[in-house]
Amino acid sequence: MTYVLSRLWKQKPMRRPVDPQLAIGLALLGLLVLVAVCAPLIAPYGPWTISGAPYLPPLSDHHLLGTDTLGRDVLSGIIYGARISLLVGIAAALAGICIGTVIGGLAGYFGGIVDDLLMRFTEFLQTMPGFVLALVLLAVMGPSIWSIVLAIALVSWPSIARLMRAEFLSLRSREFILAATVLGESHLKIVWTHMLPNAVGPIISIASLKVAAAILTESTISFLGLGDAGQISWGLMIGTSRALLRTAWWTSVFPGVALFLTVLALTLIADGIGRSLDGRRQSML
Amino acid sequence: MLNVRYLRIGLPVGGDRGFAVEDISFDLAAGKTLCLVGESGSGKSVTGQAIAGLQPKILRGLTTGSIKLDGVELSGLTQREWQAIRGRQIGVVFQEPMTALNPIMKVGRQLAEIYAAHGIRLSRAELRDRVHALLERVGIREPGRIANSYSFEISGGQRQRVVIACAVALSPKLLIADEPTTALDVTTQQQVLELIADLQQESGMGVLFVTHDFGIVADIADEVAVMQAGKLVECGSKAQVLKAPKQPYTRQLVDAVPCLTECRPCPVCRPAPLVVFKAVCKHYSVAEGLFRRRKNPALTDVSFDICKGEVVALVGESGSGKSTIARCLTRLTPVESGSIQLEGSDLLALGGAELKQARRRVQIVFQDPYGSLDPRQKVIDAVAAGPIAHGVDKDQARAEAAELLRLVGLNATVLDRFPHEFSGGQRQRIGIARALAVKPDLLIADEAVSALDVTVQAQVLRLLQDLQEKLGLTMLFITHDLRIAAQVSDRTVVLRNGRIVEMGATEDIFRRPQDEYTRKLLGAIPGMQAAERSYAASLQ
Amino acid sequence: MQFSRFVVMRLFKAAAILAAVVALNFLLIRLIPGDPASVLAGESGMADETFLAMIREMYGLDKPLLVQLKTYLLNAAGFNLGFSYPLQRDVIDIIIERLPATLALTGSAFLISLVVGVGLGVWAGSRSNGPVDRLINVVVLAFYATPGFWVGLMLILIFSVWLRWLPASGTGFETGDDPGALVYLKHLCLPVVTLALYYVAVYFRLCRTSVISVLHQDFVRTARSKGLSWRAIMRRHVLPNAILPVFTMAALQAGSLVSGSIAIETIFAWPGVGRLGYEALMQRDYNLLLGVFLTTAAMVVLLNVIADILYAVVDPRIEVAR
Repeated sequence: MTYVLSRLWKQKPMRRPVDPQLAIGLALLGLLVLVAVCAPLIAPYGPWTISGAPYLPPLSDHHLLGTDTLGRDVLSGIIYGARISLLVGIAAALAGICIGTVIGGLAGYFGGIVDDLLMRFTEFLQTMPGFVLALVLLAVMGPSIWSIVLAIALVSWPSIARLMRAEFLSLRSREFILAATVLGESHLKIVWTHMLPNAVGPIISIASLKVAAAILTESTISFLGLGDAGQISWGLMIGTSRALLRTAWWTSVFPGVALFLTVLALTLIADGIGRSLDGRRQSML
Repeated sequence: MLNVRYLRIGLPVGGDRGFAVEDISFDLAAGKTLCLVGESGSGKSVTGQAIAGLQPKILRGLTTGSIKLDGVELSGLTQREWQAIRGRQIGVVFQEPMTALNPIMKVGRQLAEIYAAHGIRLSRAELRDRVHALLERVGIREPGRIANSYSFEISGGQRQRVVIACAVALSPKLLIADEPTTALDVTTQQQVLELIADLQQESGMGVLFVTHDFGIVADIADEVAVMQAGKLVECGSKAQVLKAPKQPYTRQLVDAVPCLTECRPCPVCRPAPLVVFKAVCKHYSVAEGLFRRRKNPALTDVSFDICKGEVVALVGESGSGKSTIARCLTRLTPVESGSIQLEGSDLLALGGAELKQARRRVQIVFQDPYGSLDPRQKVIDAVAAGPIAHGVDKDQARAEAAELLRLVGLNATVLDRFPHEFSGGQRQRIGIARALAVKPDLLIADEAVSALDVTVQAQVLRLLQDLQEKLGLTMLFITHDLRIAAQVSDRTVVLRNGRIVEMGATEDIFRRPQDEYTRKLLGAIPGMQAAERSYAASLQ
Repeated sequence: MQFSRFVVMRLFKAAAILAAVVALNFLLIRLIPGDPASVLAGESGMADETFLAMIREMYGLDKPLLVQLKTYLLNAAGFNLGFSYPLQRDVIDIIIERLPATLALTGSAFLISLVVGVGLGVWAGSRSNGPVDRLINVVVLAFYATPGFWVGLMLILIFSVWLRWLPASGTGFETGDDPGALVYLKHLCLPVVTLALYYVAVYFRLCRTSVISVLHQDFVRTARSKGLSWRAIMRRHVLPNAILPVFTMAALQAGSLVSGSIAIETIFAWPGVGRLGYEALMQRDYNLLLGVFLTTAAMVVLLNVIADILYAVVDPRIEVAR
């Protein structure tokens, strides 16, 4: 895996030992994806099923992480919640990256007035308080998974667009792009075969951070009770058990731990990729 | 004064070789200049750094051997002990003047802090006077203004003078100069070299001069040490090493230096022109504030022509507009006025399919062997991409590409490799094959050999000359190195600040320069005086 | 260009951005399905006819769209953000009443996180890959990956529920009488720490990266070659160069600080603008919600202007760019 990744963004396969942080991040994320995909197989109960007495503490029989106010199994909720978190996180980040790459790429490749207009707009959106704007958008669209995805995507693309613009701008003046232009290759071909593949490293690194940010945003929205109440998610679980903090702390602690591990994994991956992109520069001091 | 014995600098595990520098020993006497010469990767720079204790952090623990300055052992000093040596006993000048100074600290303060660092307590006024005197000593005419400027506000030559001032502020015994003129234009280079020589004469310091340029060696060295792959190949007096090298590697290096004495004979008659530049003007506009734009002229009233089968050299210093001409000719940048004709048709009026056709006829080989190939594209695909874009069948294009790669000296096993697996010289060969793949009428070589080591440079130049003769190519050879221009071109155009100052047959330009500026350029070529002397001697 | 001119240009740009925010607000209202008058009034159908008529007149809803946009812009320029029907008060009055609490919360969180984050960042960056760096990195990474609202709950659980050291909600001023500054500070403690933790991580990461990249610059080697001590190089050359980019990023991040205060203020029942926004959302009080949005945007834009001007004062290179 690391080798494949290294092929993607570095010309040279790494002879160094695998970055431990990257390895931990990838392992954790792999585990989470597995849990999310196999949720019905590994979860002891359904997420909404009343499966025992209410307020069972952790380590009770049949309820490893206890039960909530209605007697629903916390572990099962966490396992099913992974689906929504990852789904919303990945979908929103993906949409944001697509929008950001197209807009940033257009601005960076063509420059001039196209660049000016697109970047003024991007800067404008970037000065907006993103989360507030997402909430307002959500209020306009009504709460559902897809409107959450859309709202997060709409507020997260500007930073990606700026990064991609900078990437494309620096690639555009590289000599191999000039050579391709002089050889008569079309704009589309140049962008597709030369520019995008060379911008893939930074894209993967920022994508990982964006997925993490999207998961955090989604959980905050659900926590505040502004999300889709029909879908179990970690934020929703914490939000509904907020009032039970004094009586049943486990109902809010464990979903938070799951959230923490997910975001941690994604951050470790982003950092690891960032480090390998930086290469082996030497400190002068 | 300086005695280096068995200096050995290891490389961390996983490097290309076990040692950056292996058991080298040399001596330098006070008042003398030792030139440490070698190609890239020879370990010459890290040797210079190690003598000042400035090698990268991870190499510090891997350095062994003895470095003695006036009998005092320097190797094994702690960083705190080094602080007292550096600046006071050893001064260092680096290659890149742009980045060698702190961008947000005024130049004067960067000089003044040396005194405080070495415990010299001075009043404000004394400090100011010292700094001004120091700046004057390195040839800066308005020390007050420069001291009060930031490094980005002064020219490259001035910056390098300031770095030299930092190095000689406390009159060190030893000056280490690590390629101090490589990033400078040839005339500025000459001034900086003269400045170092003056300072040396005044103070009697020893100079360890690290360079790759044998021209500079011929001009300034007393002693020469030649390095190859971390080893000291040959060490001796200048006359001995340059005139009668003992080692084949040294001979190879000396022979590879392009020489001014052999110009190509000028052609008797000129065939029909392929490209005609008529009164071309171009400027770059620089944003100034939100709405205003300032126009910086890049080319002013440039007219010249290139005839079929000719090699024309465009020479000039940085900012003279020589690369801009290449970009105008390939339509990579627009032109404000004037006309460029390609065999009678107006190149600037073309668009769409016609432009694509015209572009095919004018191909370019770029300077940077690392930047000019897509790191993610196989070599064969890079070469075949041009013909494919012009409608050649894919299989046929790849077959032709393989043939071309063979023509430029790469064998069939390399086809499916990625650019990072090749050396700089090989990459330039691939770049040449890529340009030739679409069968151009004019090949532009934009500083195509400037980034290469001198032996590789000679090989690539020979390849270009062979190809030119074999394929009857017309070539526009853009270079800042007049020695190369003299060697390869039939005609030479000299540019300065976007204007043509002189053009004509290469032999005329080099033997009988008419313009003052051309003469200055020729006079500033490193190794020129030495070469002239030997040329004069050979005539007698 | 002169400095005063640069400032004027920058303010001009800020005004343009704010106008664009107002226009966006206007657009959002039109996007909400239903009669805009009753949308603005809050819960559809709740408002009486006279009030709806008042809104229609105020925003010129019977006139063409462009005229409506103009009316809306002019209203906003005169700090007239409309009327909150559920609360029966002017939006601007409610916001002004709530603003000090938010400023106290975000301001102290911003300062604390900047000082702690930059301090740790410099410390770790100057010893990159050493044990200190690794340790701080791991701790900070944990801050970075924990959702703020959950940290808030955990802090309440630990410090209010289990240890009973600090109050979990409100400001202590709810009853009307003045219990003194100490009580207020005690109430401020948990929300500020909650909000600051994440931004400590953000500024730490920025600052560490920045210090490391400055350490790679050639001029650091020049400073060494002059015989400067490690301490002098750090203080005179590395820090000034490393902190400049952190300034700009800090200003950009300030926007999300205001955003982040929504969840935090809700958890800790902190009577600020963030919680006001949450309440407006729950009540479907769109007029109030858009007022909150406009206020937060204005705060961010203002911060950016201040940061830009500071940057121009501190960094000599900006002069060239102008």
